[in-house]
Amino acid sequence: MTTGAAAAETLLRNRLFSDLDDGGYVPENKKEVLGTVQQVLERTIVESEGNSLLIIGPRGCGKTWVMDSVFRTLQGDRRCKDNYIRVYLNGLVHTDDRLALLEIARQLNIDSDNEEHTSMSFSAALDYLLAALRSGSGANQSVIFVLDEFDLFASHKNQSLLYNLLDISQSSHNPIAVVGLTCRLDVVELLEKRVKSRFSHRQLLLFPHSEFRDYATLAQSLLSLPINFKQRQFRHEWQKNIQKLLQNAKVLQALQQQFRLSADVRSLKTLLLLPVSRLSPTHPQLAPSDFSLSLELIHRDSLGAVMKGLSVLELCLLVAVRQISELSCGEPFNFEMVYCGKQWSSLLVTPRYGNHSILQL
Amino acid sequence: MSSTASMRRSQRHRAKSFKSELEDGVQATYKAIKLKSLEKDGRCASNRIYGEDYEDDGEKAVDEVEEELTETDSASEEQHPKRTTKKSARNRVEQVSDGDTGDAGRQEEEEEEGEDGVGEDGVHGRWRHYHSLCSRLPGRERQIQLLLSLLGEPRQLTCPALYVYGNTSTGKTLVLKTILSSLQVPHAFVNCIECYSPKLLYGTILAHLMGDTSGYVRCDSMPSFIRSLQSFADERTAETMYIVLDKAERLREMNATLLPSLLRLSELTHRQVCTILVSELVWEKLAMSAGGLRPYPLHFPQYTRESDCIVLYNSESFCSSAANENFTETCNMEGEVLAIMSLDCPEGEPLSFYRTFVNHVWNVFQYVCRDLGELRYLSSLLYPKYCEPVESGETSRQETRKLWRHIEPYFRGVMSKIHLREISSAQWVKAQVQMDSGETSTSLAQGVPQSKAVLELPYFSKYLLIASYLASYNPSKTDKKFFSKQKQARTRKSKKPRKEKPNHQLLGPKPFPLDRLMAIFYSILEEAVAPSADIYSQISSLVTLQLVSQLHTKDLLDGPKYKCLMTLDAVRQVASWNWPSKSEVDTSQ
Repeated sequence: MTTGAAAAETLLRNRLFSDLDDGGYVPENKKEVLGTVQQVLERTIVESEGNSLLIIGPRGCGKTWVMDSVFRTLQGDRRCKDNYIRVYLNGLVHTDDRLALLEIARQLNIDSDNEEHTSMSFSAALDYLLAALRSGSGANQSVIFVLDEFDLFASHKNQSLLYNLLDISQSSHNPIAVVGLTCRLDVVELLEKRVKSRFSHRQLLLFPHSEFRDYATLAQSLLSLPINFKQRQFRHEWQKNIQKLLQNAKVLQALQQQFRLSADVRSLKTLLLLPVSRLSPTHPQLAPSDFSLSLELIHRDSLGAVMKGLSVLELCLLVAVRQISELSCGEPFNFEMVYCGKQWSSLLVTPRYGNHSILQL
Repeated sequence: MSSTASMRRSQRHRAKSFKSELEDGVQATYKAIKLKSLEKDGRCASNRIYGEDYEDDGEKAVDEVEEELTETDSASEEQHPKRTTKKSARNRVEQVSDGDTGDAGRQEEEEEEGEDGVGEDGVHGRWRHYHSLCSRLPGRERQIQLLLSLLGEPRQLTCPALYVYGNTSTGKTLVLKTILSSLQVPHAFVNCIECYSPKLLYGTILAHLMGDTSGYVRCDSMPSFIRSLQSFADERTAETMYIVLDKAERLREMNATLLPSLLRLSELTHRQVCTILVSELVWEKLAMSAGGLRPYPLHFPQYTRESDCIVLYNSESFCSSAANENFTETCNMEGEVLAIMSLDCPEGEPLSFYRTFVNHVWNVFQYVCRDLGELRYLSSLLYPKYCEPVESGETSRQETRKLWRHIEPYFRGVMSKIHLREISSAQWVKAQVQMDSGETSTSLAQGVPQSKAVLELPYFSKYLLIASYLASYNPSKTDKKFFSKQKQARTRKSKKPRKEKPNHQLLGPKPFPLDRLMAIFYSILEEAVAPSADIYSQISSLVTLQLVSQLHTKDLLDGPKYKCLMTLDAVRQVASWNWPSKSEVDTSQ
């Protein structure tokens, strides 16, 4: 017996936490990037040419989302549908070239034992893998390598994985595409000379929203329920409520604050998390107070909050430490100096509870 | 000599007879003040509030689950992109029906296991557990609300990472454990101090997820960890897997890529995983090593004393009015701290009496320590003392001023010993008994026994120790002034104004070479002793005892260097002990 609110909550959570469904609104700068990437990958698959490209953008602005939506489009394209294999590597997880190679072998569905690989050099192993792939099926299958956290691959020993991949993309009869995703603008400087020369220097920059209008439109599209949502009456009320909310001063202010602090999509989704998760049968529509509460929770002053829970003694110690650090002008000091110093003893309070002083230690 | 020996013997005899009586009494008291008493009382409270209302919900839940299964199957493709296994849902329905016929003495919440089953008040899903959780965990209602909202239903997608932080003993671990075990979802609770390396971490997480809390699954690297998580998700469950990492600040010291990849586990495995980090530090301390992904912060504030600080936040959306009233009543009568501490009341003692005692403890100690664990420890130590005059018949329970006057010196004595744990609580109790029976040893003062630091050293070692302290803390310029046997000519005082030098006591010991040590040693020793291997070997035995430390510098050409590790009080104790003659022990500059 899923009520409208519960179904809406489930749907919206899917939107917020997976990249599969984004409400349909794609801002302009992303459209360009999408278009370029799609073209490049289509050329690799259909015309069997090797390609490499980098997508650079700050955290949370949608690099992985771009790749996912390109792949969704490719799945829909008749020419490309079954002619490619995707290999996904992440710099955080595959911290070593050997691990990366094993992962490539696994994702290419090649059953091979480990001994062969360790005895061969890296490039030979990679060639073997790609040849095995080719011999498995009749036509030339293109492989698309997606390297997330590309800058971490540049810190491997000799950058051998990058060198070999880019070498194959430049030279040979194996059509592969190498797409790197990274957040460092200077990632090309990290590459060795031989690797850099094999890279095609195609870099796409993704920036977060520069206009608040785009941001607000994105928020609206994230929160709107789709047309084929089951409970029609509920959806009708919901859409009206969303329209009203985005004119509400409190909500706009919350969105503005979040936009000013960080204008990327991930932080917008974080802001929207609390209002969405508080939906329930007794609270079926979003309210402006949800948004301001969400903003307050995310941007709470954590140090201040923790300090409120300290006891008076601990606070006195902090004050004494602060005074001593000012006096010593940046020179190091230790606990003994604080404990025995004048500042500390002057903070001990006068007697309470009769004759003895509570803070006398 | 013989009198002291016989005194000691009689002391021992009396202590033995007291000991057996005491142990029974003490064990009884401690059993009552177990930490788990929280849970016990919580259960009784929830039964009182909710009565028999929840017994029929089991059957209701079963019907509703079956209805929902037929609906969601068709809708599953668009609403749940992840695979929902029908088999697991069917198992759950069977479990619910078994639970209904099972023992009725169990908690009512444990019997209801339908997915999204609608309970008595119209609250559904995870909110069924809200009331019981709030009664078991007083003072944390707002955090429980927030957590239950953020975590979502087990089958919904959830926040990939949460960061729970707050002061010590604010209930972070307790609340998470209680919530996750009552939701009955697959979860892993791992302490990062215990699992200090990535492999240990992966192995323990996987073992906990599979239900084996003491096992270990071998897992060598992050890619294989991800694969194991994926296979676990595919085989066992379509629900979210929760991984709670306690003491999360330790993750910074492990691999540089470990913390970022743990925060992104949901993205990396393409399954529903929620990583919850628990720590006492604020997020800014971990942010540098976390590689960009910021988890959702959740703060656990310190418990408050005043009742007006409790805000039952937006309660009308979640609680029914009847339960709400009961709740606000209990919590408004006393603060959160007192509510929790009075749950520790030992069986058989009147609650109001214990509450006044707890009130005293709080009023005295709150300025020094707000750590609830420490306060509970103190109250468990001091409560028997507080009850003594009542038990011996001197005063009645109502005469609070007399009881206060009796307990006041103990409070004062314990005040300086908070957090220190110089002696264990059992030793403390024994010492109290010894004191009461009239034989006090020299180390007891103010009603609280001090820690016994006994240092038995041979004659020359004592002198060497004192000499090493002098060498460490006196600057070498002053050696001539203090230790030279010849008369020094008075030097003219320099007219330059002296800079304010920091007190050498506070800066810690300075290293000194062996020659200087021997020079000072001979100057403070009254008799003339030839330097022999005997004396030098005593220096190395002092190093072994860790009273003096040897510096391991690369440059050993000048001979070994040492540093004295004793404090001034300890050295004074050594110096004042059974000396045949007191030489000048000059310990200040």
